Amino acid sequence: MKAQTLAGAMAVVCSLSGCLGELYGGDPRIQLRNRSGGAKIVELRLGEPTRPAWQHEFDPSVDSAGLSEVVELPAAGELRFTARLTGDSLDTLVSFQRRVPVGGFCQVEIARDPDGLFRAKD
Amino acid sequence: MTTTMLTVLMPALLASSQVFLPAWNQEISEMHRALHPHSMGYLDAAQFQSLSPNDRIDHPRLGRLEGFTEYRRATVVLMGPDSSAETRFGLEGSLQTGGWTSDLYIVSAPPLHRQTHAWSAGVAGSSMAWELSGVAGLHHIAPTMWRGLAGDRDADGSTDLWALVRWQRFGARAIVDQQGLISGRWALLSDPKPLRMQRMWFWPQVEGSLGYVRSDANLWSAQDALGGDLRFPVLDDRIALRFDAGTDGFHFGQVATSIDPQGLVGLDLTAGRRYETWFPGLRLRLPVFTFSVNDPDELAAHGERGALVWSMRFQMTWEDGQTWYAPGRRGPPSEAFR
Repeated sequence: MKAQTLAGAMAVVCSLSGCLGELYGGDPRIQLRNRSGGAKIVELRLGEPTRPAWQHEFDPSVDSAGLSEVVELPAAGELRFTARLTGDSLDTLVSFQRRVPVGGFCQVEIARDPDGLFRAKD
Repeated sequence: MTTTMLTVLMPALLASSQVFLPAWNQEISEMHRALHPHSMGYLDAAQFQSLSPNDRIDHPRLGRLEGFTEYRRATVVLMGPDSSAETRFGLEGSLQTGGWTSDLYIVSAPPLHRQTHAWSAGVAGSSMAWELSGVAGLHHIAPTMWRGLAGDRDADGSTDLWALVRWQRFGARAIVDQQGLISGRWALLSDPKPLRMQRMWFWPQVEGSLGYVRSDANLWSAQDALGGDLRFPVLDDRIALRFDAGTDGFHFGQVATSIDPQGLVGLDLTAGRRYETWFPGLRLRLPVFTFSVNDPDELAAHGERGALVWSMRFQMTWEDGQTWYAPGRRGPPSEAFR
């Protein structure tokens, strides 16, 4: 076997690697819509609500009737989210579960029910 | 050139956990095919990864994650440099890494991994006069850890001992741990002499093996199984068939075609069945490189059930500085065979 043959084969390897790197995937993303009627969304957490494995702080926080920035998530799948809402004499956590596929986008609305409870809706 | 190739592959050595034992079982069978008393060494630098996401990974804190799995390894056997010596000794070393990743990559790694490392170290020896060669070593799989978002331990590691021996065309290999035999095989290996020097084409190319594999190292099902495989040529040195089956069912059938007498360049087509799922496979062989999608050798090592798997592999045995070829193939007749 000649060294030139090996060099040619390596060039093919490198080219294929470069093409395949972008073939599939991408970070999943999420965006929150605030329909809480007065509270601000200040934080999005991933994992356990009080011991999150990852969290994103909104700066500025998402005002009522506002739309958050699009947040890139560190993982895809059936994830456990928690949004932290603050307001006048209010500091609460709203937990919800959503499936965000690899490279996918998910928009979630944080709304307040007539009974006063905060809920996450699609 | 070898160093350059390793430089490309090794920096991104990240990737699977429970696939390590089946993958190592497979690597030993490849080493067994590659090494013979005249070989100076063996090199395998490989990466296998899924191309389609699966959602079977449960993270202890985040939920059920969707992502890709990867497995990469580099294995080297180096014999003593004196190729004219009747008896030679050598060393074996291997590094493996693998795991789950949140995104597909080849060159750069995404931040979250469920990761395992493994290594092997061993000694090799060969006797030209006895037509005998062998390798034996220790293989250790480290605990599986989540890295990045949470550093939780996910699975325990394990340690095993392994050995392979070859006398003329007959061989045996085994892996054992504290629980007993993990895998054991008797094998008929191919004759590495150039075919055109032997003036016969059928028997030198026939290969086969029979043996036992424990469920945790079984590539094809989650059962303890007896199994066997057979490779034989049907058209000179250009077309060969390969079948693999066991007490756990049919594994795969493969047609291997070559456009050159040494089998350096060719295309392999496979139809296989793994964990009750049928899959097609395609492998392009270039000199010492293979590129494949769902090839049984690489698909099996990957440990995924039904996922599309891509692999790239640099694999060779060498007899001297001018005679290199992938396991199961052979040098051209013009190159001297001592």
